[in-house]
Order: sequence, then C-alpha cells, then structure tokens
Amino acid sequence: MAKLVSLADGVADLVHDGDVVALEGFTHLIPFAAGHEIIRQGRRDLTLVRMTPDVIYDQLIGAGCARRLVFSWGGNPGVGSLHRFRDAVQHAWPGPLELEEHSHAGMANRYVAGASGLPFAVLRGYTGTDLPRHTTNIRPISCPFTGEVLTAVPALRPDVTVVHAQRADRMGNVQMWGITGVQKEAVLAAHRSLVTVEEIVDQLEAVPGQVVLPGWAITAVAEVPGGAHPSYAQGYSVRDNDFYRSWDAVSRHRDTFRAWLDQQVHQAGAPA
Amino acid sequence: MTDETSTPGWTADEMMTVAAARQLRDGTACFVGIGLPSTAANLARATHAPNLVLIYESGCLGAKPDRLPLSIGDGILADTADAVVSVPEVFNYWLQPGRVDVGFLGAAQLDRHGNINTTVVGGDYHAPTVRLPGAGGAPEIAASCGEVVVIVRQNRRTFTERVDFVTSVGYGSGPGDRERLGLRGGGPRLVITDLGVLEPDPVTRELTLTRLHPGVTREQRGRPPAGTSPSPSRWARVRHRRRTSWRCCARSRRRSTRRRSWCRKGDGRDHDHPAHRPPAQRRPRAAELPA
Repeated sequence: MAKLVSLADGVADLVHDGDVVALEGFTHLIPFAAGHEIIRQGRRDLTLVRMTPDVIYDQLIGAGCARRLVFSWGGNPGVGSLHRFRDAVQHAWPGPLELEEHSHAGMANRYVAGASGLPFAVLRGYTGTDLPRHTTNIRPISCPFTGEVLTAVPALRPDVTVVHAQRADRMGNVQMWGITGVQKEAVLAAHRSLVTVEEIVDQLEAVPGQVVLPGWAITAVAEVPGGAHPSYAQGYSVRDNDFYRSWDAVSRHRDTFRAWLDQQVHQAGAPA
Repeated sequence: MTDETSTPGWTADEMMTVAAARQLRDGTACFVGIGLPSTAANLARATHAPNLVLIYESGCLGAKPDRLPLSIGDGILADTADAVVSVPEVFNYWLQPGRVDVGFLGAAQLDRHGNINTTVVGGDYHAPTVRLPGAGGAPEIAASCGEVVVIVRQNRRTFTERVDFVTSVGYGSGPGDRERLGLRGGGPRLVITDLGVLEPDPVTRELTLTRLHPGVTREQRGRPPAGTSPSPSRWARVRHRRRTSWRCCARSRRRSTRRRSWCRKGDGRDHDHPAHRPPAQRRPRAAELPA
C-alpha cells in the first residue's frame, strides 16, 4: 500500500543525489510541481530520463540538477527550442550534460522491458539512422526463428519514477485518464515511485479509458492540486499554452532564467 | 505572419498547408505531428477527406477535433478519439506493423535522397553548432509508414547535399537502400515546400521539383542547395518537363512525366506490407462497410 505523504517529504525520501529519475507525462499530466520540489531540495548529479524533456527538464537542467539526460525528443512543443538544454549541451552551462539519445519507439520499449522484468526490448527501429553510432545502448539482434536482424535496447529501470495523476484513494490506488502516455510502464519499471494527484478521494469512480495503478505497486502518493501546471490534468485543468510560449523568452538568457527560478520556484516554496 | 515568399492573398504556411491537405486521401490513416501537419490533416478532414483517420503519437487514434489542437496532447484529441492508447501501443501495435498509411515529417536539414536531420547541425555530435530537439517518433515513422510527406521551407541552409546527421532515413544513399536496410514503409513520396512540391525520381530516388505553387516563379526556386545554378539549356528542359532534379535537371535522362503509381510490382518493395497494398485490397474503413 502506498504511503500518503506531502510533496516535500516524498521527494526527500525517494529522490536522492545521483539517482536515475524519470518524470513522465506526455504533454498531459506532467509532474511540474514535483520537478520544482526536486530543484528546491537541491538534488544534484541526477540522470534524468524522459521521452520528451520539455519545459520541466529545461528547468531542472538550468537549475543544475542533471548530469546526464536519457531522452528521445527535447523541445518546447509547438514553440521551439529548449534554451537551457541547448546551453548545457552547447556551452556546458551550468555544467556539462551527457546525452543518451533514442527515438520515441526505443524509449517506450525500454520502459516496457523494465516493467516486464526483461533485460532488453526488441523493435524494428533506428535502422539506417546515425543514432546507433552515438548511443551504444542501441544494438542489432537476430531473430532466433527467422534470422531477421532487429534492434535491441536495454530495459530502463529508473531508481525512481515520478508521475502526476487525477485521483488517488486513501489506499494509494491511483487513477488517471485521458492521454496516459508511458506513465504506467515508467512506474512499473522503477524501483521506487512517487505519484502526485489532483485530489485524494474516499472512493475512485470509474472513468472511461482510465488507467488504474494499484496502491501496492506504488511507493508514495502526494496530493498536489494543480501539480501539473502549466501542463494539465484532464477534468481538472486546461493546458496553459501562454506559459509555454512565454517560456521561450524567460529561458533564452541565463539571467532571466535565474530570476524566474528564484521567484517562481525557490521563493514560492513547497505546496502545503 | 509576414514572409518574403508570401503572395498576396495567402501566406507561405497556408499554401504549404493546403498542398499537404490535398495529398491526403479519404479513408487513409495519417500520423500527424502538431503545427502544419495537424492543420493540414484537419483541413483535409473538414473538406475532401471526412473519413481521414488522424493518429497522434500521444496515443489518440481517430481523433476528430472540432478546433485545431494546440499540442499533440491537447485534451480535445483524447475527447474525440476512437481510442486513446498508451505510447508504447501507438508505436508497437499501430505504427510498427504498417497500419499507418501516411506520416508527416518536418526537417531541419533534408538531403537530395530525402534523408532528414532533426538532431544536430554543424560541429561534432558531442559539441554541435546547433542542438536540435532530436528524433521523437520520426525514425520509425519514416521507416514504417506506407509513405512519408515531408513539409519544409526551401532554402540553402535546410536543403543540403548531405545531412549532418541521419535522424530519419529517406532513400539512404540511393536506389535500393531502403530495401537493403529492411525498411518496410515506402519512404518519402512528396516534399512540400513554401515554393512547390518535390518528388523522388522513380529510378534515382533523387528529389525532383515537380510543381510550383501558384504565384511562385522558377526564379524563386533559385534558392537551390550546393550552389548549382542550372544553365539556360537546362532551364529549357525544365520548361519542357516541368521537372528539375535536386542538383540539376540534366542528371536525369528520363523525359517522362510519369507519376508514381500506387505500387508497381517489381519495385523492390514489400508487397505484403499493408501500406503497399492497393487501396482496393486494404481492409475497409467503417465508412466503407455496408450498413
């Protein structure tokens, strides 16, 4: 059964310096509040894993939390580049950032293998691209039945996965719906998991298309209303597209980014 | 939006959107990214292709938004989809086996064989001049969709002799490369730019300008890559054939203006791949089934 915790306690207990950390959420249900708490608690040397490192990872990278990034697409969706990510890769600011780069199909399958307790996943992917030349974690493998050459990628087993969901009950059973991305696989692949939710309710009512993660498969649940902002939680909030657009100017320069971080993350403090 | 290539009455983006929309056949399944491809697919669905199946990599299959979505994870997509599936399922069950007919891709760099770079430009991979977002779903879309439509603005910086990094494979280094690599999808069928449309030459697989948008002159096309300016005699051939190749039209001796048929036997493709079956052999869409 998952423990019900505050966000600050959950991050303090479950996210450690040097950990492999996955914050997942595909446009929808991105755990921004948890990312901000990781920044506030000053975590360092993290290997950040995420299919689509967008604004939340730009913030974590710019704040100096990351040593390494495992990803498949890094951008501000519909807006453009991630300037903190680019600054780290191109100018090693605030520190060098190692990259392990994949495709979406490869990353998704790596989580599936991790969740399945398998050492690797097989897919038709990456063939003919330059990605295997730079990512040693992409290898050819022959099918033992047909001899066809396919691609293998190793399982992802994050130390901790953090996701956001709509609801949990008091036993820590988590319910999410709408676009649920790769969150189920990312949680089940991880050694520990922290789920932030819009609300904790006495009883979960069924919703079409829901994904339910049983409380006994989750380490901790924290109630953080609005914890996905500027992303959204279907049924609770809408995506703050203006924030994503404004992030381009905020993040473009180190000074404006630092000022934003001080004001919006450090001074704002953890949610009660 | 002001744009040097815009013609009074429409912008370059609008022309690209309309040109892309017109390529989408009713009843086909289309993998769309946000921005221009999504706008084009929704325009097609609102006009000539009401049964177009829109697939977004966020897991929304058969989305029918009544306004343009602002991101691939816009709630309107999940609300209106036939099914919302997980991201692993989108790639493993739907894209990989060849269930998607058309994939749209953008490019930061595109070479004459339709290979795409969205990863790094200039310098070394570990110390690039420009770090781009990376692959996303593109390598497998380029590999597995029945065909690929590339939408890109035409200029010297984008159209390069060779891409600095192959993020997604077009025709590799030429004829037969897709087959050698075992890529089961058909590869780029069209490149839609702000000036016109390029298609792969049936033999050399070299991208060839086949159409100019209304109001665009051949001189505007004069933003070619690699600094090769066609000679007057070559321009004459262009006029005759309305077909300029990537570097110079004289490379290709083919005089025909033949169009790529749906699927020619003997073209080296995997004809068992669902996307390569002629439309008549494909599974019927819901709208085609008898009531």
